[in-house]
Amino acid sequence: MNNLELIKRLAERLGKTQREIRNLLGHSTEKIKHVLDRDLKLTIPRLGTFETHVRQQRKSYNPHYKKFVILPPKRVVSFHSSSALKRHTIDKRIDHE
Amino acid sequence: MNNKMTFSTLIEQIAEDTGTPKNQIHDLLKEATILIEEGLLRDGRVSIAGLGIFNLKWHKARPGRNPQTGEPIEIPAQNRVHFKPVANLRRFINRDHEGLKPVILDDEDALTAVVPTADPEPKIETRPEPTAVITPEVTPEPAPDPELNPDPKPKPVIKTEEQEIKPEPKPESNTIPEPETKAGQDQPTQYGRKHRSMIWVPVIVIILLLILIAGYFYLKPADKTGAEIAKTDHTETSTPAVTQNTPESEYQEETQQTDDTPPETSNQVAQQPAVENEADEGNRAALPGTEHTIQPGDSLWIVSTLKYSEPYFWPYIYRVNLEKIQDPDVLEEGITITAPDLEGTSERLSQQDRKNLADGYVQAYLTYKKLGKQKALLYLWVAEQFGTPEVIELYKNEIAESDLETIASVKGITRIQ
Repeated sequence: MNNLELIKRLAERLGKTQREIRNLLGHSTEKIKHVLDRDLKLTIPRLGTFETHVRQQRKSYNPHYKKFVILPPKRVVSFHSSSALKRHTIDKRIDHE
Repeated sequence: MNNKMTFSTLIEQIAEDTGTPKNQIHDLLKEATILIEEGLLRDGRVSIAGLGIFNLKWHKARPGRNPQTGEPIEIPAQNRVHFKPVANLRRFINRDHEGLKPVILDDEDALTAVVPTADPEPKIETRPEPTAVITPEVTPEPAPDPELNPDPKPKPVIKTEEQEIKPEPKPESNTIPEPETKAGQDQPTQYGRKHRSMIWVPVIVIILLLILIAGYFYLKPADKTGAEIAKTDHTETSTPAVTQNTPESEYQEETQQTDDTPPETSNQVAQQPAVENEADEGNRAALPGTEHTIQPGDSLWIVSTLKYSEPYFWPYIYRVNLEKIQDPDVLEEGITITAPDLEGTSERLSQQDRKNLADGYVQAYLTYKKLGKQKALLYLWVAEQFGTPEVIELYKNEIAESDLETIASVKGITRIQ
């Protein structure tokens, strides 16, 4: 499912125009982005939890150069699905082709 | 620790931003959640613009252990939801570390370098410890695995500019009198110092080279004009000789490469015409001067450039000075050659000019052929490109049959206008 389909179906369900939905969704994602940037943990019920953490600088091996490298620290977003989402999706195998 | 934002606060803030009732935002997010779940179950993949992609991945059953008791258990096959933030979001979140690149360790470094152990001080722990990279002797223990670094971090404070929002971390970073705290943008530099020091060397060399080249070209034209006016009594033997790089086809390039002797001596000279053309055009090319006395450094290429603003017309000069020039690549100093006027202009040749040029190229071909130079073929090919077969016909007896065949087999790109 892509963004367009999501917007379409949300518009259907909520009885709004797609434009409104797109604006609202855009604001929401922007808000989530800034919340995450402030190092806050954000839980959306039934979906999961977003948070950021810093991956430490670490030593690793680059197989291409056959040398050890020090990977710089990196701040990443992580997501943990909620137990509800896990429960619903855990055993449904989707065949990706 | 107040590092959590509740769903209701989020809704409140979004509602405030957009001026939409809270319940609508609530409904929207709730429905979106349901749809994401639906989409995951249906397609296994949901992408949301500006946020990321949710992906359902099937994990096979694998053996595991109960982390508390250590007893082996089987982890069943299952689906997991993965989330990959869009590049925009990833970059935004990681912007503090944006410039950092992996540092490749040399072998001796690799033996001793230690990944800095986790530091409870949030400010520092986001930054690399330069000593570990640069001065290996500091490190007591050889290269621990990343996993051996224990402490899962307390929430790191990376953003200096937004620290006033978070009251807690700020005093912490202030109370710790680390000198590094001020080095907000200093740190990455130290991190990449190993790299930088290597990068600087070629950069400086390139800059120096550019300055030298610029200086060379700047001084050269002045030198040249001076020489032309004053130094007729130069004792040097004339050393012209220019390869004629007519850039018409790859075939020509091939023949150029197989070309043996002349180019080496003449390559430096060959670069000059273009520059001198610009410098001298004003006073030299304007003259209809048909006479030209050869001075050290001159070549037919240069004379042609001065006369016609076009180096490739040198056979045009050559053909009327056949008796004075034995080898077009080598001119004798002090001889006077005639550079005939064009009937048309160098941009728009008349039919007679084309014939003459073709004739000149054929002459060049014959001479080179006589001298046993491989590039001769190239000139025959060019002559043929002028679209004046009668000129070729004229020399039919002198041109080798095999050469004509070779030429015919080369596909010309365009006819010369």
